[in-house]
Amino acid sequence: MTAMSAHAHDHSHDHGHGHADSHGHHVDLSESNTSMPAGWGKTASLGLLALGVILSIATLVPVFTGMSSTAEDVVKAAKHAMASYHTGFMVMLGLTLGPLGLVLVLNLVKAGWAITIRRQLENMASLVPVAVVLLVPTIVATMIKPDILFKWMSADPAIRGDALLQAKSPFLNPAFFYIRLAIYFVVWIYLATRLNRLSREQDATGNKQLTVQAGLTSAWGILAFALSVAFVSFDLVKSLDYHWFSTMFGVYFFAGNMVTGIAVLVLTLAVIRSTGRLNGLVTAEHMHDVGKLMLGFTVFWAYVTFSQYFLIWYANIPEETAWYMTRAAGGWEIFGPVLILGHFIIPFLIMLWRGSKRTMGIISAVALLLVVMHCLDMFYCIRPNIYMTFGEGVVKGKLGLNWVDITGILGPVLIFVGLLVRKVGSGPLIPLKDPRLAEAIAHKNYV
Amino acid sequence: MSAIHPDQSTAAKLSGALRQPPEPEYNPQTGDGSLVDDPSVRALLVLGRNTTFADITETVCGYIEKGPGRWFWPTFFVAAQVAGLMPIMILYLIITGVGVWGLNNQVDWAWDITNFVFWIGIGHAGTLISAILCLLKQKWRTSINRAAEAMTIFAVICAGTFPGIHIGRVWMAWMLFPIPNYNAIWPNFKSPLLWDVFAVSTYATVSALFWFMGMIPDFATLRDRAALRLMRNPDSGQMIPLLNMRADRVMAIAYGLLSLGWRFSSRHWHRYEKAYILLAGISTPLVLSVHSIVSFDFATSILPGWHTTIFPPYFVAGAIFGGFAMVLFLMIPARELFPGMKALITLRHLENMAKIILVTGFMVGFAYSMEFFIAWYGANRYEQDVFVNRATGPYAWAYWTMIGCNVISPQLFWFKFCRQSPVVIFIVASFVTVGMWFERFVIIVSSLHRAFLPGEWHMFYPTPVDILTFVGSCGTFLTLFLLFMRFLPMFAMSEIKAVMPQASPHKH
Amino acid sequence: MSTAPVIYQTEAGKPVYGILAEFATPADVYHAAEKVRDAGFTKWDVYSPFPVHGIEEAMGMSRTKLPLLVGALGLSGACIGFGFQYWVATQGYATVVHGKPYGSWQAFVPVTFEIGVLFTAFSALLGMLIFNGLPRWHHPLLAKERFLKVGDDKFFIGIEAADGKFDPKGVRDLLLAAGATSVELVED
Repeated sequence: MTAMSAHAHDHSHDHGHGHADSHGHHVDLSESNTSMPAGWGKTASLGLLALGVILSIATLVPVFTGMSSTAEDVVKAAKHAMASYHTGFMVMLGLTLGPLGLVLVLNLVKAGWAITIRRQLENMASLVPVAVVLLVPTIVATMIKPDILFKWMSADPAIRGDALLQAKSPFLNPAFFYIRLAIYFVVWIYLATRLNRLSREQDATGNKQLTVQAGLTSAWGILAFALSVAFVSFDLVKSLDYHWFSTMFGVYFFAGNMVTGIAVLVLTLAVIRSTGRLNGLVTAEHMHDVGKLMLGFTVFWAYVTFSQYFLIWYANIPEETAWYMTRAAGGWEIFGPVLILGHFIIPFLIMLWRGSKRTMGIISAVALLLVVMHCLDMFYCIRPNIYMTFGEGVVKGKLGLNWVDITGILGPVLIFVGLLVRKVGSGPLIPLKDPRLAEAIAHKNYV
Repeated sequence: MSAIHPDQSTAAKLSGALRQPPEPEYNPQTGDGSLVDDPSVRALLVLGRNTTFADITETVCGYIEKGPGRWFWPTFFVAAQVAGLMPIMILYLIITGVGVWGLNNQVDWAWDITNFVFWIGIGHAGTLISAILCLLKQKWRTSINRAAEAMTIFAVICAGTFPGIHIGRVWMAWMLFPIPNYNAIWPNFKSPLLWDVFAVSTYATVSALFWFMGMIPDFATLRDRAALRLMRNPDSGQMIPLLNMRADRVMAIAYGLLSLGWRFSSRHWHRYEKAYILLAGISTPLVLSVHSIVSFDFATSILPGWHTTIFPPYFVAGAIFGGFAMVLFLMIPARELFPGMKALITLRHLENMAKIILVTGFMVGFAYSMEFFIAWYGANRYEQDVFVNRATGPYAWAYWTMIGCNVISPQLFWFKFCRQSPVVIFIVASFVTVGMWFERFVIIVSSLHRAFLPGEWHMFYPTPVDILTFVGSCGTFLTLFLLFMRFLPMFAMSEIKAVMPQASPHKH
Repeated sequence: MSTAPVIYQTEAGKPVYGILAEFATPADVYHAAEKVRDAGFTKWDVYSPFPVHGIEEAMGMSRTKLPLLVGALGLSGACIGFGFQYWVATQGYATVVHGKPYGSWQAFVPVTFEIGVLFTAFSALLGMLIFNGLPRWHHPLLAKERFLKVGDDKFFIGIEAADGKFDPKGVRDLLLAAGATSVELVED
């Protein structure tokens, strides 16, 4: 096939944009630059997928092997395994939700510079149906033993008789819980599928109306997204400790997802660029802006996380501080400082510099750090709940680290990565005929 | 290997082989031409295809050099009279004591702090438009950023007054600051009220720096124009009676001093742009922090209705919401009154702001509902009662005014014709401004008037002094804004020129 | 290096500041700047009513170190702010506040941040001014009638006589060849 060379033109109507091109930016829009080589990543994808599945299953090993002798031990091991797997699941879900939110915003604000990076976000968001599959083990386990993860589902009369739980039961009851989950997933799958379809349809037809339609969908989509993301964090994370409540929690969950979503976007782009693809389409200029977004959301995460912690610490009301007290003893106390450093201070100080945003190696390293930190963050929210003990009027936590914690988290995440690799290799790497493509090609940071 | 790859037509289009869509034209039926729907066309930021750099200079400097028109001085006179109420009321308060306000044992924060939070919220839009939109490369900001920044400063001046006068013994206000004193007393750095002092004063300072820095090149333009007129005719300009100087001489000196000797050097521009982006970068978290700290005044307490973790971002969203409403409230009439301003603030600009109002209106609505939901979910009787009381108690009218203005009225912006009609936008903006005042009133008064002990329950009724102080602060704000429109460059000329199509060095 | 700098004078005996050339459009001045840069001048400048995008490269300018200064000062401001609060809360006027330890760092975060921002903002503005040698209320260029249009819609290149390569005739020819609409001598 012939490599076509396109010269992004300085359109007379394109005010203030698209001029850098007229001075020599010849951009290759041929298949050899805008899609991965045929068959790329097939083996890697399969390998990662298989590894993910194996690790997920391996998480259950302690439950069925002789490692647990008594029935009580089996339950304990199962709870531990489920909590770890749930952590991995929440990270995986976040990796589809963060990008979905970003696609909605980019469509809504008509971002020109981001056209060439949008497809990878769409790829990540399109994996949200996989989350339904990955949620099945949790639901099945919950059916077998209701309080395996969600203590509020327990049949234990001591818990059922809890006045606080009874007050919440119109919301925290299994039937409504499943209905809500179904609603969230319907909303997300619809949004992700529709935006993906519009974008890919435009690859073929170049119809500009599709961009307008995507904008309209994003307008109501962002509302549905905001509400569903807030409530899914209540259902799947906050309700694990059903006594505790915080109005900020949804925003906290959203911020973490955005950071990781962008971090994985950076890693995806790094992999694609390492094969020499997207030459002139995703440049240091684009990475610079993606880096700014990553920095911005890192700061936002820190702001939200600190505000939530700080208000609870300051007011010192027992019903709220319990959550943090659990996480301030028994080995969990190390997580706070690690998250402050790794999820905020280190990435912040590195990403502040222009050079780090424009150097693929540095930005990818920071992105990797942020993904790891998000896993720890989710772990910090989910895992302490299984070893909570009450005594002397204080809630105490216990770390109880086990190899299951690694496999449980890695399993769903690797399944996601495996599928993402396949997705990346399967079609054009950018929206080929987006009306604002020229703007993205000409994008440059002047200051 | 496909025979015809879909990218070929894109490539052809990019290389100019395909016909490009025509430029938007002015059409009285479809608006001013800035409302293009075609996603491949970016709307003109300055109307008129033949608008030159000199036209921009002439329009913007003309507001100062020729004066804004006959309406100006009468309006200014009225606004200044209203502003005069404020010092009179404050003087009366200081002489007589806080008893002249409607505060009582239970509701010990009410009108004054409502006004404080209201004004500080208004004061956030300026930095937001300037800083956040600057970081987000939203070029349309150039038409409104200067006015919005000015608004920030004036709103912060109004805001700062209220906590200053509500402390009771006003003459002890200096103790708010960590000033070494004979008793070796230092302020309590663990108190949210002290954080407020630092947050608000930092915000006022940084906003003023940001505003001033943006005006340096425009001051230089005004200076050079006056100097040029004087060079051609030493007696140019009207005689100013009291100063006994020609207006052009005064302008050359005043704007000359303010411009710090700016001479439009590219080496200077380079550092200037860097410093500007740094200021924008630091102002963005600053805006967030200031309103978050204001929200800490409430949220660090244990009072039901005040203590909730979502307060910081909720207050920030409310500030953006109310601030944009105030920008629209001021700029839509200004657009009618000043000649040539419609070419700078196009319908597209108004539509964009209407969309921001819609989005932030939803954020505020999200926070309202989240508060309600968590009050119920938290299963705390006191918390639940406060929220039921808000919606059905004696201040329910204030609550529903808030909901009506802040959540319901922006819904009009779902309709395109509403987003594109300056009249509708103006009406919604006024509603939102009122609604945001009531939001703070609801938070403060409805939570306080029925706290834990029923024996202490009291209603709050504002006194005429309360009301007139607030009216006076509105007058102060308007007076300062009118002075700004008269004497300072209302648009960032250099920034507008930089986003015009002919500013590109690669245009041929 | 060893040769004494040539001091140019006008016919009236006044020292020469340099040569100023006017250009009509950003594109003209941009391309002219590339030529001046390639001719190897160092003490020269482009003057424009707004920052022309990409002029830094056309002029061969190096990136400013301002962010380093601002970052360093901002961080030190935050440290000073935190240190002061810590001192007040633990030494200067130690008071028990809602039963929490004297040195509870959490409570110091808001003010620490604000002080850091204050230092950053002042260092950005003042640093920019100092690096630019401003305020400087008089400059030879500002005495030129033609130059007073620079804040309006005209573009200029000024080459200083202090530049080692300066030679009135050569500079004039270079600028005219680069598309200047007018070239004139500027007295100091």
